[in-house]
Amino acid sequence: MSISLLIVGHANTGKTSLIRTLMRDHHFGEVSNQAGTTRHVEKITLALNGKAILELIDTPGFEDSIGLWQIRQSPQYKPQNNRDWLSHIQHDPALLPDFEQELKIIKQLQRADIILYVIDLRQAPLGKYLNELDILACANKPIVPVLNFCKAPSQHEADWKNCLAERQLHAYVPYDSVAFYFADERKLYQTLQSLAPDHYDALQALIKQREEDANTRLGNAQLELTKTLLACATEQFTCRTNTPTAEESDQFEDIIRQQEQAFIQACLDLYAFTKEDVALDNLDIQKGQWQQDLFDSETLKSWGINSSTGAATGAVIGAGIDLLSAGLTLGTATTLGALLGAGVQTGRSFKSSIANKLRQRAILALAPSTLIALLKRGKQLIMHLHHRGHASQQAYTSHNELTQNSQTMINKAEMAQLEKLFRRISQRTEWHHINELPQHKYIQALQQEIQTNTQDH
Amino acid sequence: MTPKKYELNAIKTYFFQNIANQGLSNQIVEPYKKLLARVNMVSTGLLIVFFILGALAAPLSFSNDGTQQLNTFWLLLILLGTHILSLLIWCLGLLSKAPTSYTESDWLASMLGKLSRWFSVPEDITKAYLDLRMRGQCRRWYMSRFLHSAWAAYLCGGLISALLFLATHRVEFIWATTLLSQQDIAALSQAISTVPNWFGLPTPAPSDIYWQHSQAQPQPDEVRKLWAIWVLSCILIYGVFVRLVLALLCHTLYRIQRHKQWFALANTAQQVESSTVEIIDSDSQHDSQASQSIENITPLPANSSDLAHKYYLFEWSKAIPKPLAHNQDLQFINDATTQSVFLQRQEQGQYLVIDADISPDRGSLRFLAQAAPYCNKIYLQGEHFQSAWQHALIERGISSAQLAQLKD
Repeated sequence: MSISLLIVGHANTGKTSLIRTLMRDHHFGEVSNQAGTTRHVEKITLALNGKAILELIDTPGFEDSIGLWQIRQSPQYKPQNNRDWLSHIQHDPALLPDFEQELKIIKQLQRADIILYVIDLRQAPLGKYLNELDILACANKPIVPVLNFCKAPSQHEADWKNCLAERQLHAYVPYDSVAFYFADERKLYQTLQSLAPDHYDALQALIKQREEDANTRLGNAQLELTKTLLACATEQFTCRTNTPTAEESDQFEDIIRQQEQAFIQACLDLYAFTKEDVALDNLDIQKGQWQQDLFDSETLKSWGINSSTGAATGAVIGAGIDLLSAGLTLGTATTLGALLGAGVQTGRSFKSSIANKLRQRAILALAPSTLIALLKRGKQLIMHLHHRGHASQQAYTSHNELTQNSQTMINKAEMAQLEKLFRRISQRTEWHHINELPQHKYIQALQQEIQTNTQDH
Repeated sequence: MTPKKYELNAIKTYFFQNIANQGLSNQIVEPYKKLLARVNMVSTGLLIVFFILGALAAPLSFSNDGTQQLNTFWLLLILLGTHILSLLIWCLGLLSKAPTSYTESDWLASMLGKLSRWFSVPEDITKAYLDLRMRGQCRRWYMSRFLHSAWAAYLCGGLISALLFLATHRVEFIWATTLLSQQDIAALSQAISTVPNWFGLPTPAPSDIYWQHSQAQPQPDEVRKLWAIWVLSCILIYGVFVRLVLALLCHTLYRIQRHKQWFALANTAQQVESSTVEIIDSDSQHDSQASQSIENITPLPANSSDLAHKYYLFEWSKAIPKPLAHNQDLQFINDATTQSVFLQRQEQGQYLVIDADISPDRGSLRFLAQAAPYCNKIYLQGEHFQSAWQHALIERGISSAQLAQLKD
């Protein structure tokens, strides 16, 4: 059996937004900046491994708790105990026109296990909010105040904490449906565990699953960025002549921008956001002519490795020929195959650059400064999406400051190191659009750089 | 060919994790099945080809320039030599590390890519197939299984062809040597005969070896038959049987690795959360918040210059507005008690200030409708919900002439 959580609060405090962020669902309910947006009572059931763990019940907000509490104090209802009052007012036809929303909430109080009372910390603890707490207290259910918009600057946090303490509500949970941190969500589930010990194990499994999901998403996003940077660093555009034309230049830039767009889309898919959540400026692309560095030791080493692999493949093919001739060639084919295989592989490494040299063709490649900008933009995007609540309605934007002011915004030593790394990576054309990342120190260095400042906090 | 349950779950999780185009999720299994069937068809075809090649190649080994004499050990070397060499290369290959991934330039990925294009299978499906069935140790054992199966087919073909040849031709088995002695040949024969002996197959005795060497007299039928059976059993045991056993072993290891991978992926799938949404108390009203066109509302007048009066700040959470910063007679109406006091005083000519940066609600509007008769002016301070407040207050019967804007 699952825990039933009733999400209540004044209108426009972010109840539906809270559920969106908890469920990681952009599409749940309707969110807008005016009171009375949610008018239904909606239940969302969260299951893990097919087993229902949580029921979240979204309600329309309180709008006239002062009026309702005055009715509680009226001669008609004052003599009644809380339980009777809650039961009777649901069936009082005189109250329906003015308090339909409030009565929908009260109707759900009976079935809930725990009440999550959502507070907008940007608002002071006004009388109407405190009357809402008085009404909810009549249900004799545990109440957990959720301090929403806790990341926004607020002058009222201390006041709220005092008011809650006066009402013996000490187990509040800070949350922000717009700027999301998993630590806050974990605290919410831990508070529920203390209030519903029978459901401790199920909630613990949910916490663990959520943490793993968050780590997996982050890891996958970082991997996407690594692959995008590798693809961009090794992207080469062969021009028709020694001097690139404007059209060729534009085509190359389009390719790079498409790579970045594909990365952004992959991140949005990972985090279940839509393209409306991100509005990045066009990347400022700087490019130059690619030169094969014949003196780079890693490049030469990689060709040596490739040659021996080619030789082994050639030997296998040769052995197949021996096989077919019932061994009569006595391994001649095997030997020839090995030589051919090594030759083909080595030739492949030199072939395109020699051919382009002879034909006087320029090769466009991305400048390290743009790759560094891509790296920084990618990291910022990942961190933003990792902490973006699904209730957020403002699109994420970034500026091209990094490419214009790269020298000042990034430490010069770091810049030089990154430039060197990207120059080396650009020599490894065999990594272009690779499916899985090989174990290589350049790739590890790049991944290390991506993970710096994008680890979850 | 239908993928097994774990493979189906693994496929679904693979596409959830790896492929951005979620639209493919509805069209994954059928193309995957098609690719599986085609690959199996090609593999089976290749095995048949190897069988035929073996059947064609074996009789070549028996060519004897019309002398009807076959050098036994040279025949064995031709029939089994490359097989043993290939086995040795395979064993050495096991010592190297299995590749953990494939790249675009990988020959298998490239070949499968071409095959998929012929069969009109989407590229994503091919990638999924390679990742789910050809990654790391799976690939090693799959290729080994195919290699041993191909050799087994080749040797089987050769064996059957040799059997038919020997059944329809008369040959004599001889041996000749320059470097070895008769005792060495005898020892070699005995050594090779060890395993056939376990299976009860006849093995040559020293006299049979003598008959092989002595080319002066024709060999008795029994001796020729013995040597024929001996050659055939060597091919069967040291060739076909060895390859079949290795093929079976590699097949088992391939399936174990494959299931491990699918199980790991499928387990990930089982951890995915699911949620369902249900309306349990729907709204009975239709849209009751139709707002008037903003053109019908009288534009608010500018700042009031009369700031010396007592002002009531209604449900106020933010800083005091700048025009009222020095006003000594400010009061707040923030709860039921202060609302009640205001209404009970019934003092005319009051000034109320509303925070127009928060949305109007029914309770606030109820009070303001009751308080409006005692107010000279109701100011709206803030931009966010100013028109919403205007509409709502006018709907409650408050005159637009009473409304004003308080700007900082």
